Amino acid sequence: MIGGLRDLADLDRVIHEPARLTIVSQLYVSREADFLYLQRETGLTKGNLSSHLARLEEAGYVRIEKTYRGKLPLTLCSLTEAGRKAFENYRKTVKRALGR
Amino acid sequence: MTGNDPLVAAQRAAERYWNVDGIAEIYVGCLFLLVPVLTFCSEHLPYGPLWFGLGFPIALMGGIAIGRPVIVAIRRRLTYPRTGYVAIRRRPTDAAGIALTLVALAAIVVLIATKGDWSAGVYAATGLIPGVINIHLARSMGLARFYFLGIVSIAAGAALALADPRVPLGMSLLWGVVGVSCVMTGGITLRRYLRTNPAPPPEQA
Repeated sequence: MIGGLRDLADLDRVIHEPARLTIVSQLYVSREADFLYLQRETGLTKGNLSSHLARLEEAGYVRIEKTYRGKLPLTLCSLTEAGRKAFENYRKTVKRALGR
Repeated sequence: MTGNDPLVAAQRAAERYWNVDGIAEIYVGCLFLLVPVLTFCSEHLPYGPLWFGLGFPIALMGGIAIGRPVIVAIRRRLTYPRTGYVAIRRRPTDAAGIALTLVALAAIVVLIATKGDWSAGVYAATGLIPGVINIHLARSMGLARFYFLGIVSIAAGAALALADPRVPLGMSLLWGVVGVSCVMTGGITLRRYLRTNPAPPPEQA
């Protein structure tokens, strides 16, 4: 393999999955967002978004807080410090490997 | 992050979301409209100067202080159940925005110095400052209606600088035009938003 392309093999696979990459990108630029906002911005179905968020939470990249707005359930999501660092590393690796 | 970076697009989408429903514009427009209302009160009601002298700073400071909580409270009912909630992460200060503001301020100083007439300069400045802020918002968030607000504000300031009416009337006209424009664009945006995003059934909100 050519130089930096070898780095691609070390990419964080939790973040590398396209749907999770979209979720993490959205959370990276915001302090927190609720489930509905993420669903609209990512275009994922409820079930898909739910399972990807669970995977990201399990990896320690996303914090999920289940609360209520009035009587309605509200799911707030935010990126943890580990999630921010992992995403920044992911970006660096991809840029290096693709020579951008 | 560069201009083609998808993260910039995500950031802009999150920032644009603050203005997605027009509520902030309506609120700001109402604040601007306090100037003509208080000017009218000070000229036509008893204890005239007190209306403006005391009323304006209190209304302005109070309006700014409670602005965010009021807008958020309205959004909790209207916007968040329809299209969700996001809290944006502030970007580092935009150098181009600062440069634009400095150019605007320099233009004001030049205008006042060349015209030698302070009231005309004040009109131009008062129109130029919100104008530049609106154009900066339009540019940074990609919201065309803020260009309109910026142009209206600058044009109103320039027109009044040329006409040079007495100060209370001129200021009332200027803030009246800017305030009505904000309420109008905000109202149209809110109407369109509510039509495009009907309230969800209670169990889905």
